[in-house]
Amino acid sequence: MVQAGLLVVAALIIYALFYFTHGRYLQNKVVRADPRRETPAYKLYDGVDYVPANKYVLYGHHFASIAGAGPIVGPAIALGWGWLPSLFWVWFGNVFVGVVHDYLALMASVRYDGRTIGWIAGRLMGRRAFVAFNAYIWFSLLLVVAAFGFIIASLFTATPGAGVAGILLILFAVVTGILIYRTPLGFKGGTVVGWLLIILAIAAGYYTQAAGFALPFDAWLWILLVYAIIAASIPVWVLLQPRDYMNAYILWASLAIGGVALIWLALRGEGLLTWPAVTGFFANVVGGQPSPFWPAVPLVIACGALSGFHSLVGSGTSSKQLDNELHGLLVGYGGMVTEGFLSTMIIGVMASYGTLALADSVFKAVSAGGSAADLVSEIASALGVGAVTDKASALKFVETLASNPAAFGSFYAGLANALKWSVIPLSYAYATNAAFGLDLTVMTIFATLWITAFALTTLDTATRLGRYAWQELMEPLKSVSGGLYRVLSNKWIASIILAVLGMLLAATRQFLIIWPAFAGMNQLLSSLALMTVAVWVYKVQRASALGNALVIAPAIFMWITVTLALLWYESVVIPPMIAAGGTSALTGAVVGVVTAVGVALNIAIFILWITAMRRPAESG
Amino acid sequence: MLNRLWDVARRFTGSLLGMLKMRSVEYLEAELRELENVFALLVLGSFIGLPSPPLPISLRLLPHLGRELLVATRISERLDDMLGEMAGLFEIS
Repeated sequence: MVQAGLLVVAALIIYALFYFTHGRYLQNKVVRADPRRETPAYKLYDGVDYVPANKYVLYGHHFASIAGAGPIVGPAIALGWGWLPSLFWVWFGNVFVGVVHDYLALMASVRYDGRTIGWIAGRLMGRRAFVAFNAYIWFSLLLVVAAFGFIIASLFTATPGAGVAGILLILFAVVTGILIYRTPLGFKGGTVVGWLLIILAIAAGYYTQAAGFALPFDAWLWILLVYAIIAASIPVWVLLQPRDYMNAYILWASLAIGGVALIWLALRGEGLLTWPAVTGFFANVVGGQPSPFWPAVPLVIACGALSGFHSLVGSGTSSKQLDNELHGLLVGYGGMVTEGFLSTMIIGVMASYGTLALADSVFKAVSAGGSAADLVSEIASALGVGAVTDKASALKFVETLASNPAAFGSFYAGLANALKWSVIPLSYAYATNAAFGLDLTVMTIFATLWITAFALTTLDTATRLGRYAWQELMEPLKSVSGGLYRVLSNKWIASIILAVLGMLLAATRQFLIIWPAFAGMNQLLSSLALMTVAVWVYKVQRASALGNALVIAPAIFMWITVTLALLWYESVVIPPMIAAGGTSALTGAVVGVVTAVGVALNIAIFILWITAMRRPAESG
Repeated sequence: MLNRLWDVARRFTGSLLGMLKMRSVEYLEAELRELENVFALLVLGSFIGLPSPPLPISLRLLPHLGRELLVATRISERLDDMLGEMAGLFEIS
């Protein structure tokens, strides 16, 4: 049996190997990075956006920007296919596609004066590609709010203490912000107080949970709705900035604790992977339907293997701060493999300690009764095990499920979803408890806080961005009806529209439908970015045959994979939803239309790409 | 050997601190940039037909606004892609 720690070590070796071979080849032969060439940070230095930064500083910042809840939740869902296929996609996707995407998006932007990948697409493939790019962003935001709203409300319902800690962290972030930006305590003093407040938030969560505090899922959704609207409309220095800063500590601490825990467990001969390596090519993952691993996997694992949103960070922000072209490899390529490492850690933690975690959640669900308990009974009957009545029978139930790969493939995703995905933070807590003896409840609250802190940031930034996009969309109304324009472009109204629609989608509890749609839109964005960099490499850089192959092959592969995946999604997953009627039909219709628009845009982009590739080459 | 290790530790800590400082101000910098745009518009608005402030005041302030003008000009060149820039700044993953 394989140990989770070995996966972590193997990931480190594979990523290091690719970094120094594949990465260096891309740097030297494809990008032809030149340390003497002036980067936009110097050429266009303005002390505001264009400022050179230390390469390690920029790497850490870039990684913290691209790593959110995505690389944690996606691989957790994909375990329905088994840990081996999930790991395969994370590693293969990372070193074959993800790093090419991230590194070249960054470097193409550096060569185009720090412009975003969407703008470069417009430059290389025409104005329509640029419009399509902006449409991707707009359509994605609704799904982002729905998916992340659901995951936060679910995790808070499963671990109410984390909900308390999460809310306190929001308030404490405001306090930390005031201390850092408005008092003589400054950066260092405010930071120390911030650490203490994080510990205080976890302690408060621990004690309120012990006291029996709990809120239902819908109540958390209401709280999140109010939070998203307010957070998206207040100045960034009040909450967004200090919370994002505090999140960075939580991210690096959780990554270090988890990674070291797995390696330490491996050295002690513990942390064996007890979940099935492979459950089958088909598993009930997307929308509860039998889902083929290929092409459906990118609809589940996006961040961690490949994420289109990374190209936005790389091309819009990091490229303006690159001090030297040679630093791009560490920032773009290194940032992506670090995210792959994070996903590897999650897969290892869950496949080794998921049984204990799932047993805990199953026992709690059965004790509480309701639809999750009914599902457990249904699965127990199918497995031929007795009813779950206590912790021992819950453990036996999960062990039986884990020892039967076919049954695991059929039931895992649905069960974990019904159990509010509490299996993710609980697995992490069990692993760190086994390694260092850390308190299980405290670590569960910490892990939930870690995941939800990122998801909360995503929730309010998506609402904020949606507000900007909505206000831009309302511009034509100005000449037609000034009064209506003023109402609809009001910042509160603009935030409310997106947040309410997103939360309504989340309230349908169709997470296994919404998440793939969100991931699919993300992958469509990456498909556009990959095609853009392929045109750049082929037409502008005029790379060698191998260099072109290393970029064009992933671009075509991803385009085919994502297009087929979304067509499969539209034809297999959406129709039963619509046929079911009620809220399922509404969710299916909304998500189906959004992804259909995405597929249409993707086909249009492919035609533009072919046209651009056949055009005579341009210089520089 | 010890000196070398100390140097590595010092550089690592410095980088970590730098990264964290960057994370603590990135949105503020973007907001500051927007405020500078508004300020430049208020002060130099008379050149593009905005009524405030009076032209003599604008002309007297002009020599002190070289950098603001440069930044505003650069940003104006990127105005067709502000949604993309904001999407890059606000992390959605």
